[in-house]
Amino acid sequence: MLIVKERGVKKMSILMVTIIVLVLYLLFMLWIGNYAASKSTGKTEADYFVTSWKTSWIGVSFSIAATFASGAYVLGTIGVFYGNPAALTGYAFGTTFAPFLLWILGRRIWAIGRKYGYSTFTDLIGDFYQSEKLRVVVSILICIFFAPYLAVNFMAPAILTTQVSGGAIPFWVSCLVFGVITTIYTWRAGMRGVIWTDIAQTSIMIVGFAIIIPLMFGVAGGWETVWQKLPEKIATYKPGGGSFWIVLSWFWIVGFMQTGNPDRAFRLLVAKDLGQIRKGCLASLALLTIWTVVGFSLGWSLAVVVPGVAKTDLAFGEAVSKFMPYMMPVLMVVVWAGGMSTLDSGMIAISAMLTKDVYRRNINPQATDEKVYKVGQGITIVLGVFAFVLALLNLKTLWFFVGAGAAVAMQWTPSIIAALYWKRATTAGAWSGILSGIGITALFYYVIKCPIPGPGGAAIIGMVVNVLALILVSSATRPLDEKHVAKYQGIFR
Amino acid sequence: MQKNPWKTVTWVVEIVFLFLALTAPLNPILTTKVSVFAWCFTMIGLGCIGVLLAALKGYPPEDFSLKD
Repeated sequence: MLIVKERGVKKMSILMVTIIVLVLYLLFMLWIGNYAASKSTGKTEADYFVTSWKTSWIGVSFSIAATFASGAYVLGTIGVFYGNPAALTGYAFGTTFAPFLLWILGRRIWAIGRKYGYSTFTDLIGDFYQSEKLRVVVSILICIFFAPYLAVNFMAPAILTTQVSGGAIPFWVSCLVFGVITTIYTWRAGMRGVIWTDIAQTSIMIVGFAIIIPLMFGVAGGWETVWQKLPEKIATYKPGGGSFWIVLSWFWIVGFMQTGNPDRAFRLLVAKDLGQIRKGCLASLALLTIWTVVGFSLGWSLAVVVPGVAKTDLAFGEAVSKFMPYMMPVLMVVVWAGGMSTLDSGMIAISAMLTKDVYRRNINPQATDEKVYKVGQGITIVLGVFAFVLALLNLKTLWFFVGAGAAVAMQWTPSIIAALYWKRATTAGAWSGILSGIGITALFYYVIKCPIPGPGGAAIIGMVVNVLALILVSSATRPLDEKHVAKYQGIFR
Repeated sequence: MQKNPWKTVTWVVEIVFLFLALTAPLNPILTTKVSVFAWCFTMIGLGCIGVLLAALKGYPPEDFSLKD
């Protein structure tokens, strides 16, 4: 009886410490957001959405890394590393390939964006392909499919908070606190606030993992025990090439996500100069590799510490609460940091597309810069409320939304590459490529079971159809005016 | 303008990386957990070399400037 009571008191005090640490973390984020807002150089669209092109390589890389490591990564992806680490070698290959693509595409995207004052990729698509309709339709489609991804970021921290508090803190309360704080600093400070908080959140996550991982290995009995006990069944490929498609699927979603997802890809537009983009890509390589190493380390050790957890999203939380409950405050802050860093980036990216592509270009072309700035702030708040409501529905597993958002969003990539490198690309080609890519991907994600397993399966099929449609239709239709194409592809020495 | 030979090296390394990495599940020698992860981390190393070549040698910012 006494032991049970003591355990209850201990559990209560851990919960109290967790809440206090979390509150301190949230206050810190608000302070950073406020400080970032005070550094604003004026109420202009360029300042709100692209920091007036003043971001250094630290901002570019830490922001890409923080946005990639969402709350769903900390619980959902690490859950997959736990369930099938062999398949996640594809994830590792993707994180190594992504910075290559970031640099190869990013240098041209940055240069064109800087020359013509772009703050979104749809600026490039609409201008290069000379189609206002294409700009708006692509913006709206990407926003529609990407919006559920915003809600995922509420779900992971709220699920963990409810799990840890034994239901004392309801799911909706966590969602509300999480959404309000993130929306406040994003609304106040725009992209600058997002990037500055991302730097802090990446640092917090790295330190948190650096503390938790050695302790987890200790609980498991040390490195050698982990390696000995790690089941061959989950740590080797299926015989006869049976793991090929799942590895390819993970590679695809992770590799193309960094240049495809608007929440992180727009960082290519905010840098001070090309040197900062280059350093940013190299630092992204280091940071994304850290996320891979974290994933494998935790996946392997969790497979030994808490084997056989059916709902893999819960494995990490279960291991911490069972074997090292004193680490719960650290895990909690790591999960909240991951969730907030991805939510803020998603909100500012979608806000940029709706504000610039829809409002400024099509609803109120005469709007002043200050008016656009205020509309951008308003849309950020609306997005925060929308994602909060969607999160309350608490649908399906976490990875579904992350995968679905990324799979659809990356379908503008072939048309962007064509705008940067292919003189023969045409407006009709871009229309057919993007629409068929999004349509096929959505079909296999939401309606029909995809024949290729894993989160990137639908995106692979969508992208193949997309590229074929782009090439075939472009080849069959009238090319764009040479002088116009030269304004984009001919501006480089 | 002189062609930068490092561009070819960059793409060769990147294509070799992609081929060896993505065909890992078909590779008959990768049958144990040691071999799977040793290969995986070797591929990460090769991929990193590809990124470094692209950013520092093949496509450095110095070779890239806007026409006025």
